[in-house]
Amino acid sequence: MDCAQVTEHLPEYLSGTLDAPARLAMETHRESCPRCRAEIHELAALWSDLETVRTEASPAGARVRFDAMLQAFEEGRAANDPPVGRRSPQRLGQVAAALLLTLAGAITGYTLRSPEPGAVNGNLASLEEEVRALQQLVALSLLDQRSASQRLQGVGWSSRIDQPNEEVLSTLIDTMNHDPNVNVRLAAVGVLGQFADTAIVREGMVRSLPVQQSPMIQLALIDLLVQLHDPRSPEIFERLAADEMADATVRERAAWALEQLG
Amino acid sequence: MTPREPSARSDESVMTAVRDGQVAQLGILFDRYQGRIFSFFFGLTGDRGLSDDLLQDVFLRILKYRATFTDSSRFKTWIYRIARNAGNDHFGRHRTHVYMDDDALESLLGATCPTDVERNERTEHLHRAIARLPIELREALVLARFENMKHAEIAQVVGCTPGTVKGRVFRAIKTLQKVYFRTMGERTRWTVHK
Repeated sequence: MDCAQVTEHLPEYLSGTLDAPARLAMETHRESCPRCRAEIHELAALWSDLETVRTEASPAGARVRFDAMLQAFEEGRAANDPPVGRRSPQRLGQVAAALLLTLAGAITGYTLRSPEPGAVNGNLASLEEEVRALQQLVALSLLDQRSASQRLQGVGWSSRIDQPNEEVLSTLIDTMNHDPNVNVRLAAVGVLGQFADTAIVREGMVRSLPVQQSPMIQLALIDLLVQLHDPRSPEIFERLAADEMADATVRERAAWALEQLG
Repeated sequence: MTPREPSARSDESVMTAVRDGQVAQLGILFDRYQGRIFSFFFGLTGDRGLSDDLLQDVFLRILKYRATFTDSSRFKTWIYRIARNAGNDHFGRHRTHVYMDDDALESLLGATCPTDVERNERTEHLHRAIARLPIELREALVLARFENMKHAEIAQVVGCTPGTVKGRVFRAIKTLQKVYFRTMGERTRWTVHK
């Protein structure tokens, strides 16, 4: 081993991860090279001294804060989650989709075969309600999947529901706020825009904008809130436009939104 | 009640249970990792309050994104990646903390318990030297030295090659060497000739 190789292996040598043959070769070179010996000695002393800097003592109240956060999370989950059995196993979405197609076919066939549509109105309404329930089940099932593309499909399914129930809307709001994939979050914002005439969605959007971190989501929400003319929006836009930590484009858009509402 | 007792189960097994709905078991992982994650943030920021906030943020993110933990994920790498993202999000919004400011440095220095004056002085010099490292070098050094992570593990956390990590650790230690031994030498000479 020469001086250049000693230098190359120094990080592993210091951290004790250098394999035995290389370590032996390095130590052999060290004995014959005063320059490398001095360098290794100095860096080893420094590496050792770094131990004095390290601290693992987290604040005494850390566990208490964690417990409070966990409790709040569990309470929120219990309040928002659908009843046990509604959440998906992997195949639930596929099964529900198949059932949905069957029901849709039944409705079509029923309509085409019936000589007197008025006589079957009751049955049709019942079937349509079942279709809506299944659409919602499929949407919820897909929104709960681990794969981002499946969650994206779930958002798409939600957009096809005529009048989604509160559970679907709440799940979409949760997706908009917390989904790890920004594309899924953005798609959720778009679909929620279709249902912005409902109070829960308006409330969700108004609450979401101040806590969103992604500029793309912030911009989409600003545009939607401008269209909604919600009385709570100007104050939010004002704060966002003045927030020096916010993205410059978002600040400009918030200022623009204020002008639109002004 | 959140479990607190020591458990022989692997981190991955516990996290899988958390992912699958037994969120209270996250307490086991909090007990195992709170010190290390706090130490990671403290090494980067030198701010105890901020490090505690970021620690809590990491575990909140774990709850939110628990579905992204896969059967092939290694928990230690996964949590440090989340911690790094939490730190980056914070630094992105508050650029002043990318490098430690004087208050943070004083906090860092005040957190040590020196056994004698010389050790305190050495520690102070080290803190000052580390505080002035560029963030990517500081991050590599903290993970390699304080968290005892191998270069390949660090590479998975920060999203680069092990060779890049090795280079960063080397540059960090060489920069520290210059600053540390130069200032210590100057201080010694100044003390002698005063």
